[in-house]
Amino acid sequence: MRIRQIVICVLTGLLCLGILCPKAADAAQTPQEFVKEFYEWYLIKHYERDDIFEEEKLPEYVDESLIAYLKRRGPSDIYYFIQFGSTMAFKDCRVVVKDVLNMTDDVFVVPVMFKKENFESAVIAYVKKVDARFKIASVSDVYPY
Amino acid sequence: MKKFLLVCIFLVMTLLQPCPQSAHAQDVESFVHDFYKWYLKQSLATDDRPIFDEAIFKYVCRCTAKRVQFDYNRGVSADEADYYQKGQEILKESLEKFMVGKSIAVNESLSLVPVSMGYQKEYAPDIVVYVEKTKGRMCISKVEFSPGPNLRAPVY
Repeated sequence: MRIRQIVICVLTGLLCLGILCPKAADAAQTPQEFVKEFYEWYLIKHYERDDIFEEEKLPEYVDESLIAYLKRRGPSDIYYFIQFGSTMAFKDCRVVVKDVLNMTDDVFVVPVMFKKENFESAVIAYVKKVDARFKIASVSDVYPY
Repeated sequence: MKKFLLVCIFLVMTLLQPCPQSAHAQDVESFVHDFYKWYLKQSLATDDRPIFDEAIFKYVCRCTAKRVQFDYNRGVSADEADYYQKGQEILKESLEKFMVGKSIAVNESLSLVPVSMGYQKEYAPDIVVYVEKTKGRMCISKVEFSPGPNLRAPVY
């Protein structure tokens, strides 16, 4: 009788683990996974929309203060998130993210490569962790100064 | 036959030895460490930023060093902080306590190096140093402050 109870307990435990574990894995997203998800989403929207700031999902990825700054700054020849001018080159690019620098105050520096045949470009994404969620705080080019 | 085999093994082992030149090549972290040691020392000694010192070209890429000089001369700075140190004051403690963390590679020619300026006791990096490697030579191409966005003034 006792053995039966133990077996039921173990099986119930395993079932609970099976249900809860994938959710726990989702919650523990790394800065690299977040940046890759953002850019895979962004590259599609970049070619679909005239104005990315009209995209409702943008504040889910980008820090509000950066959005406010970019709106205040107005139009530019350079698209901020890819640090590149008007081009079709980023269409269907693969987003490659590998390493990360862990900075102070929950800031992460993530190099992002955009790759396809005969084209390669890179930006550096600065990601901030606010209330257990990642947000793009800033994006830099890889050129001098 | 045995002698031939021994010679072959010796040859292979010799080829597998690291090249003497690469063994002496400076790593990116110690290059950045040397730069800040020199920069902070010079700043404290002369009571002025050594951005116009010719020795800066030993560490900083020519176009970056020139642009920093240009901005200094025209009184332009995004946050009135020193470009290389991202602070307004050079403290003696910085020279003693600054720390350089482990670098990551963006691609074959560019690495990012975290630097902690030593205002706090523990390692707390908030400066990102971009180091370019071309033809076996390293130079600092950009320095950024990680908590704030890049708001440098346009050059044109």
